[in-house]
This record gives sequence, structure tokens and C-alpha cells, in this order.
Amino acid sequence: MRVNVIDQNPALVSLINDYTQQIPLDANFFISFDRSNTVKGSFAIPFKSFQKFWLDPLFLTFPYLSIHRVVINELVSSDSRNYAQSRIDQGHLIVMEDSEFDSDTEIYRQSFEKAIAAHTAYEPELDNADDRGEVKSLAYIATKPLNFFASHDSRALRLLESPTKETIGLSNVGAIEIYELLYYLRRMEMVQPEDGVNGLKMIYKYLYYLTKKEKLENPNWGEFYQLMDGLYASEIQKSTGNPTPYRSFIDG
Amino acid sequence: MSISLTKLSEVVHHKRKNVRKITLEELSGETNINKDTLSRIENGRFYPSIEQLNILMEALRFSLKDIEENPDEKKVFLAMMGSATTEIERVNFDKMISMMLCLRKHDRLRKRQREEMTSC
Repeated sequence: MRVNVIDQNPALVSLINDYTQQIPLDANFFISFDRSNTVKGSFAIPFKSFQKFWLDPLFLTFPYLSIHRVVINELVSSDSRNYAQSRIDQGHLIVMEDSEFDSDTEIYRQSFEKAIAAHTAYEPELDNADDRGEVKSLAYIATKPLNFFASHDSRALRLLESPTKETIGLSNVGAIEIYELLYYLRRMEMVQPEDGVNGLKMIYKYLYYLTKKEKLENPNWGEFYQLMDGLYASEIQKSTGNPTPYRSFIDG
Repeated sequence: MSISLTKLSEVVHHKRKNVRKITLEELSGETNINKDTLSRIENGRFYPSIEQLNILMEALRFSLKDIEENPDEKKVFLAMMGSATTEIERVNFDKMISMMLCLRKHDRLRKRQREEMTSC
């Protein structure tokens, strides 16, 4: 996947201005990164490292992460499922339930669902598993309405980046990608100074700078960080509310 | 029940032009919805938020019933599913309906792609 270090993402700018907004997450945020099937010679990231360098800093930073009920049910690996469930039990992860909506609002939700599904492999009438989590999440987001969807799924991201989004109720919904959050976590010092920063770098390299093609298309971690800073540093300086850095949790 | 974007565009256009007899600018002033957005709603190219839809229903005096999608198609599929008398029949109906929906989706996507290419 390509990283965009040329244009500002209004969704990330909005998140920088207020990191306490609700961020709905796709299933792939909880599933340990694994490119071993598609990139020869690569190995899956063990869940322990995935948790330490990705999930834990994410939950340390953002107070209102959320996930749709259907997406939880899609988490097949016991590690992912147990992690999500323990965060729900601790009150750190909001579960988005369609049953929250009253009968009138449910009509809108169903309408959004149908409109969004028309662009995916999901058919509401059949309730098949293909793209179900993504469609249900986006329909909930459009109904509520919420500002973002954080995903690593190219189909979901394509939908949010295409002009079609205006005809399916998602005109105000922005996509947040993993590389943008990696930058934010590093910039806000939300990880252990040495180990954690290397962990973020490792994830970046694994997801965006692993193949020959990616090395031609995407900058390395150092350049990436500088280019992202060029796009967002002034927004970060302007922002009045920032998360408490990792160091402060340890020091006191 | 779900809302039809086509019906919504027809109702909004008809009520504004023929019933209320007001311009897009006037409706925009009344509703605080951007004129371009209103124009795109009337062209079936914009799905309004719940808040925008409620404001429009009030300003142009129509209800959800007026923009309801025709549910007949869904009923056909459900009736077919319900008419299966054996497990094998049910599995085969499932497969057949899945193929029909797939073809319908293909048609829909092709139509949309054509529309997008025309509007470019």
C-alpha cells in the first residue's frame, strides 16, 4: 500500500485538533499483521509484539476507540478476540450496536447499509460474510454520524476516497490509515522512547516498505516522518489538547 | 424499509419547484443546506445526513413514506427462500439467489461506472 506524504488528510487534521473523538476501528486493526502469504521470505508479526508496539499505544492514546458488534464476531484468532474483549470489559473499547437506534433512525441505518453494500460484496438480504463488518461499521458511522473510519482494508479506504461516498451517506466521513496513526503515536511520544519508536518503525517497514515496489513508491521511515511532519507539525503546534506522553505515565 | 435516493431526488425537486415554488437559493436560505448540496440531492447524487433529511422533510412537507424504496424485489427473494421444502432445495435456492444478487450487483456497478464516466 502507498503512503500519502504529499496531501494533508483532513481527517487526521481533525483528529490532531481533538484526539478525544470517537474512532471506529476495522477488524484489521486487531489482527496481527501477516504478509507471509504475499511477500516471499517475510514472517508474520507475533501477537505479543503487535500488542506491545501497536495496540497498547493506540489504547493509551485515544480514549474513545470503538468497534462494531459484527466486527468483534469476525475476529477469528483467539489472541485478537481476547484482547478486544478485555478492552471492552475494562471500558476502553466502545461497542457500536445497531440496536441503539430507535425505529425511525433504524430506517436511515438500513438505507445507508443498502447504499453502501451496493459497492461491496455484501448483500443485506443474504447477510453473507463478505465485507459485512466494513458495511455495518460504515452504515453505523453514517447514521450516528461519526467523522472517521480507521482501516487497513483497501476496499474500505477506496470507498471513502472515491466521489461515490457522497451518494452513500459518507460525504463527511474520513479515512484514517495505519501509517497516519504510526506518525501520530511517534510525534506525540506515545511509545517507550527507544524500544517503542523502533517498534513503530518496524511496523511501518513491514506494512509499507517491504517489497521492491514499496521501496520505490514509499519513503523510508526517517524520510516518512520528516515529510509527515512537514504536513502536520504546524497543526500539532496549534492544537491545544494533546494526549499525555508515554514518559509521563512511567515517571509519575 | 429503506429510503430510495431516486425517489428522494424526485420528491425534493417536485415539492420545491411545483408545490413551494421556490428557488434553490431560497430553499438553501431556509434550510441552511448549501445550494450545491441541494442541487446534488435533486440530481440523486448526494445522500443527505439524517439531520439534513429531517430539515428537508419539514421545509418541503413530505414524509419517509414518500421516499420509501419499493420492497417488491426483496419479497421475491424471501418468498423463494421460504418455499423450499427440503434441505437440498434450500441450499440450491441459496446458491441461485446468491448468483442472481451477484448479477444484479454487477449490473448496478456497471451502470454506476457508466454514470460516473458520463459525468466526468
